[in-house]
Amino acid sequence: MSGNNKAMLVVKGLHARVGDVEILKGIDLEIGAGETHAIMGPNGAGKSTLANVLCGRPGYEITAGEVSLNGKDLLALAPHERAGEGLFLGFQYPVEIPGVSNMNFLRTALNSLKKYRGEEEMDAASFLKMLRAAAADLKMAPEMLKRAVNQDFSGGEKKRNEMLQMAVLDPIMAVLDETDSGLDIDALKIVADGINAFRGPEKAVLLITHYQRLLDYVVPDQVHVMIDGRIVRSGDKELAKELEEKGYAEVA
Amino acid sequence: MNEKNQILDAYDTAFHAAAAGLPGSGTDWATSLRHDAMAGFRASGFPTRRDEAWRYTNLTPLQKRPYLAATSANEITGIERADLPRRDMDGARIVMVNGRFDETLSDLGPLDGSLTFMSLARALDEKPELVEPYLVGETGEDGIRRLNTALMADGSVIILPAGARPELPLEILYLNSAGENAAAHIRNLVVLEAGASLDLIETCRDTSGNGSAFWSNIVSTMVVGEGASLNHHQIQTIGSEALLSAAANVRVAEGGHYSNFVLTAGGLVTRNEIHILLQGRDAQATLDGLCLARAGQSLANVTIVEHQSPAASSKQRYKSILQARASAAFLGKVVVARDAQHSEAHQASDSLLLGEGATANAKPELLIHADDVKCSHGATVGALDKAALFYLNSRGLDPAAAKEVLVTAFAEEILECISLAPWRQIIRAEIAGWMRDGEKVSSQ
Amino acid sequence: MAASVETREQVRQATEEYRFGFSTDVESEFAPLGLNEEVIRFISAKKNDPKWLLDWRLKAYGIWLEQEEPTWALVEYPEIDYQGIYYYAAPKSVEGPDSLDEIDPEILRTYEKLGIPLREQEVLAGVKGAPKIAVDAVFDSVSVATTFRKELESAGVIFMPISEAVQAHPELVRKYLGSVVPMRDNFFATLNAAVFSDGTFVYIPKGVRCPMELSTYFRINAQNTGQFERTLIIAEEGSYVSYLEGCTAPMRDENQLHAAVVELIVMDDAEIKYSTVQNWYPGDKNGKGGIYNFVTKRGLCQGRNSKISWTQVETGSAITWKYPSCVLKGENSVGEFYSVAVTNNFQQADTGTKMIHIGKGSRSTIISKGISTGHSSNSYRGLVRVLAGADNVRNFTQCDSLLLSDQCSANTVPYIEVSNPTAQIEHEATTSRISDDQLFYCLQRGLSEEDAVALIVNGFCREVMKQLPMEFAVEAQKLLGISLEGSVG
Repeated sequence: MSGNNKAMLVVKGLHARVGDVEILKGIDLEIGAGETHAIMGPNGAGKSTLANVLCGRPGYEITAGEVSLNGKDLLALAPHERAGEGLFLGFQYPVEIPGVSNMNFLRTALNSLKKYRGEEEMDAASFLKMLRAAAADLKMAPEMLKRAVNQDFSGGEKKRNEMLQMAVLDPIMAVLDETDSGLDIDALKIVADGINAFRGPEKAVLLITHYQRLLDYVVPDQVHVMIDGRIVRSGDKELAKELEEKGYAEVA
Repeated sequence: MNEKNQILDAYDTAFHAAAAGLPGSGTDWATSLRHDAMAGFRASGFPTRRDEAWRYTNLTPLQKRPYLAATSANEITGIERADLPRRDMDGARIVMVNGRFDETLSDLGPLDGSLTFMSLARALDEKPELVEPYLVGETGEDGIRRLNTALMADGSVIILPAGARPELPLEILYLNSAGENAAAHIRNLVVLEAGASLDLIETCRDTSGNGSAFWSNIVSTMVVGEGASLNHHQIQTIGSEALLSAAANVRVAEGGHYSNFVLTAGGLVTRNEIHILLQGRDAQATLDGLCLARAGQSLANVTIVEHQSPAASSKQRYKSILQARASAAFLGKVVVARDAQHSEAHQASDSLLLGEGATANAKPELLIHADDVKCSHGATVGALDKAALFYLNSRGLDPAAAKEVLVTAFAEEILECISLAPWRQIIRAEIAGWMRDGEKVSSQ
Repeated sequence: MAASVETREQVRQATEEYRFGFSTDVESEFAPLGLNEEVIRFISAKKNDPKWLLDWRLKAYGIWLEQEEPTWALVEYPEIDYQGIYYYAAPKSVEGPDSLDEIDPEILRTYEKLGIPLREQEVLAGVKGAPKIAVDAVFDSVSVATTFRKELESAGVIFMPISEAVQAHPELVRKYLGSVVPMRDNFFATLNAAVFSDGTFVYIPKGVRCPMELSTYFRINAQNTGQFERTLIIAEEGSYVSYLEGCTAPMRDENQLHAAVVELIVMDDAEIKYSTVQNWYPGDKNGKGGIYNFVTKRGLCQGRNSKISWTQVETGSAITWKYPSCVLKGENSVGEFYSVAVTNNFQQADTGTKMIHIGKGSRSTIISKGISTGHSSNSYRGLVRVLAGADNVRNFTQCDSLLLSDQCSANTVPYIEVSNPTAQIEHEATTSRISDDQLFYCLQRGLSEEDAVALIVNGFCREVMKQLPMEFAVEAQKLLGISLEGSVG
């Protein structure tokens, strides 16, 4: 299926290590506009490392390879510049920022992105209107917007908050790292609705997940199996089901 | 002022009278060390409450009269083996009576073969080179330690070679039976070479039964080598008129671990001070203490933990339970040096006030000079939770039983960290005994 | 991480720029250099003191000569030459101006540049639609203007320079002066008692809610001159006042001494909210110059249900030595202390509070946030004391320190002394730097490192900043070098 659409995210021969340990051992991946891909794999396969490396988290050394988004070399950019180019990471463990309200955080972030893109900042009233609508879509109570970022949020609230940030910041490429982990079925549906609402012809999504469960609600165009720092198999959504039934060892 | 000088003069006179007979008198460095220390003491006198580290220590008894060392055997009323406190644990026992090693009461049979033990007096007289590196220049940083250096009559020298890990704990038991206003100045030296490990127990008890005003002044130097581990357990249940000042200077090398648990439940005044230098990467200190204070008692735990090297960690937890008119204090200082990045230091002190006129003081101090650190402290002072008491009452416990359950629970949290299981049982028994006595006192 | 070094640098610069460093060229009259009885008589004569006040000053001077400068704070500075300071400096033109027209236009321009409204139709610079604020402007040793006095008088509120209050309301001043901070309290307070030259006097009568915010702006201008002001605020039964103070000084190479005393007295059911934005000149980036800010502030909650709330944002001064305290004598009285202290370069701050619980049911809250960077040293020092007769006391203390450089220090030195078994005291403190995870989370959402650090620091201080009156919060946040938070929320 890939190749049908204009390539957005292109990863070529990506190697990365932490200290002396090589974790990514040559990743090749191409995600086209409008596409949703899923990466599945056992613990320790390097899935979260891939997400972190794409977004420029410090602590990883890239030893080889290229990453581009719409032709722009991401590896040359600082993390906030990658965000400016439209890359969004949904964190597996969203971070708490005491004293900073969700609302203020999002407005600061949105205006930073707009500034990076040379766009005009959004005024307070329009921002508030947009934010409230986005929160309502995700069935988030308005007072959550006034609370400090992720502080004293439940696991489900944190993940929902990640979806709210994605909706408001409106990236073009979303990398969602185990966004489904720790969610009950109702929360999972809300998060899946959030992802599906985000999908569109100019957007791309990379889901990183351990379980097939999320893929019942967000149907991927392609599924990749990652084991020991490499993508060992790719296929359509049926691959995920096969994995669920037979386990990684057999499928790989 | 005059009274103060008279007291200092009394120590000075006693020192000069005794100096020639003190151990090590045949060795130049030991003699000059004692004289330097005495001159230092004469100049500084005892600490006062204006000295920050002594802010919450009741020094009145020491300022009122001299406590002169029990120097000759005739002051020692006979203690029989049968008088010794019951043993609840296996292992060797070193007994110090009125500040002097008593070989007949000691039980050295089970001493581990790898361990060197010698009384300080013997070491100073016969093998001064063994202790010289740890004593020279160490006159002491306050008047009480200086006096100890000048007058130290005995103590334990314990040396473990690299890799030695005796299975059984080693106990040092301090007993006092000398008359009123006598004193013992004890100096210990404990050295664990790389990879060695030891459970060391120090027990201070009063067996005289007359509750005499005896002052035990114990100073210990402890050296924990690379990867070595010293578990230091202390019980202090001296008589109600007795004084105890115990100070340990501890150095911990890379990967070494010093842990201390102290139960303080006796004395008119008891003061424990531990000064730890974490000198290597991954050096660790774990300090826990429980103070059980009765009316009129003044108990204090004082700690200084200096993180001198990166990636060292320290954890301190002190609890006090105070009956009416008791006083307990925790003064804890953590210093993280400029380059000691990745240090982790946590300090907690909790006090439970059970009666009118009880005073709990705390000064948990953090002095941090590196940025990549995780340091915290917490301190609480309060009474028993009324809601919890009511809950237990409503379940049928009478007020005394409910109180006992909650007080025990408060203490129990800190017992969890004791690794030596029989020791934990001993401490539990002490707490239970203290609570029963406390009830008796409060119902009188 | 190289990038975070850069960030530290940016944050350092944000707090480093000192906007108020200009000096004003006015002709001043000085007391003779140094300190002796003659100088005190000179100041006293300038102030037209009644005899009791001159005697009071001279007594204080005698005590001061016997006192020793305190050394327990975690600050270091070369010995101060108390004979090398002018204890009184006043612009020549301002002796008793009746209207703004009589004030030296240079001085008016100074306050204009500082953004402080001396004309009643003006409001604080940069704040649109802000409510009225009455201002007492203290320039070196004298008050040069006090606004809205008529309007306040009609509400029964007395708001005037203390030197004027000595003349107009001697019975009040005499009754309360030195009643909370005794003359012999400490070295700097005693010095102040001997030489204080001006300051603000506020009296809120029974049942009156002060109709506007009151404020004093302190400006040190003259060279080699100390400022020794004294503030006295009395809130009678059932009254309320919110009082603000701001402080600035020119950039000068020498260290200048500021030794003020503030006394608050609060009766039954009354409340004083006292806010400070302290931005004295902090010295240059090599630690040269700057104000020595040695201040004694104490409030007495005399009455039942009385309340004192101290809020301070301390960004200036080479050295800060300051412990705004509450003596909680009244039953169910309340003391609060909210503090943000930022130190940069070679600044040193040793600041905190004392909460002395005497009254039954009294409660106190302490929230302290210290941020240190550069080579600075930032210490919290606090005392919570519960006396034996004070039943059912509550205290909660939270002290957090944030370190933004590897060459600075953050110290926490709390004293907890409890002598009543019904007290419930909780103290927590943490010291850390900004976590890498927090920083990366913000970067991933598009914030630059500089903005991310500013945002996180701002969040760190929020509990304190939200205590400030809105007019001051604006200034305080600017001072922190942080873009305004919360205009949306």
